[in-house]
Amino acid sequence: MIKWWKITGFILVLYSIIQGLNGAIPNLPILENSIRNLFFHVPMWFTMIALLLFSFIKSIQTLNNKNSVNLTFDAEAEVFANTAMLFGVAGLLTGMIWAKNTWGAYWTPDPKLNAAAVAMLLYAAYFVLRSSIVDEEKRARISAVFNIFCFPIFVVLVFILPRLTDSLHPGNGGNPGFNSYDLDSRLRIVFYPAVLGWILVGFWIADIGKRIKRLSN
Amino acid sequence: MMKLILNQAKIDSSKLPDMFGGNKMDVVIIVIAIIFTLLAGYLVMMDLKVRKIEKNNDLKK
Repeated sequence: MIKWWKITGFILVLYSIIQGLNGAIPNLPILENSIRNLFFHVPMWFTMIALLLFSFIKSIQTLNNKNSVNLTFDAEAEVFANTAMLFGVAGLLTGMIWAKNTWGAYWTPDPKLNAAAVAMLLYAAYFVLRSSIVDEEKRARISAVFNIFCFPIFVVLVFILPRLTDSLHPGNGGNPGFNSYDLDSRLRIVFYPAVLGWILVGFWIADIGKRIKRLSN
Repeated sequence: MMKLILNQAKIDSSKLPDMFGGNKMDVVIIVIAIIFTLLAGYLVMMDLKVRKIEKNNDLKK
């Protein structure tokens, strides 16, 4: 039997696809119909952050033992980070398409965009670090420490630094977020289910990855 | 043939049917929904396969 939360995730995402592409939207200049990308681009990042948070927690649990490291938690931390990167790439791609249609270029030297790219490279370094150490215990210990430092840096890069300077990205550098455009909550009734649905689907993928890893060990 | 192409190019884009108002958008939505359903189907298949292997491993133990 497939667990209830996996089915819920599937139903919510399916609803967000159908309603997100077909439902009513506020009439906004420049953005026009591209506002529908809000239901896909933002949930990708939210899912990534939720998965990275779990990866961070698993890394803490890996080291939470005086005598030895917990390899099970280490494997789970890697799977969560792996799945998070999948959603990160999806978030970047959906964002690039949106940027092309509203800002005129796939990539701009915007602090939010560059910080997101740097943050993703940090996690790429995490995977390089993991693959460069042969000894299991040593790999678990060092990569857990790296991951514990990675997550707060990620939060600073993506959520704090872009807010301190000028940015094209909504919700940063004095730009209003989408909540100021969504006066009649037409976006919210699709956006919130989309966020929850994609997060559940993200955890579903991570769950399968975790179990496959456990079996292969 | 060339004249036909040129005539088509002269059509004012504002007079074209709105993509989000016509039936074409329904096709796009259905295609995306089918792709997502197939992906979810693949996840379900993987989930059940892994569960089967887990059960077999438990029985062996």
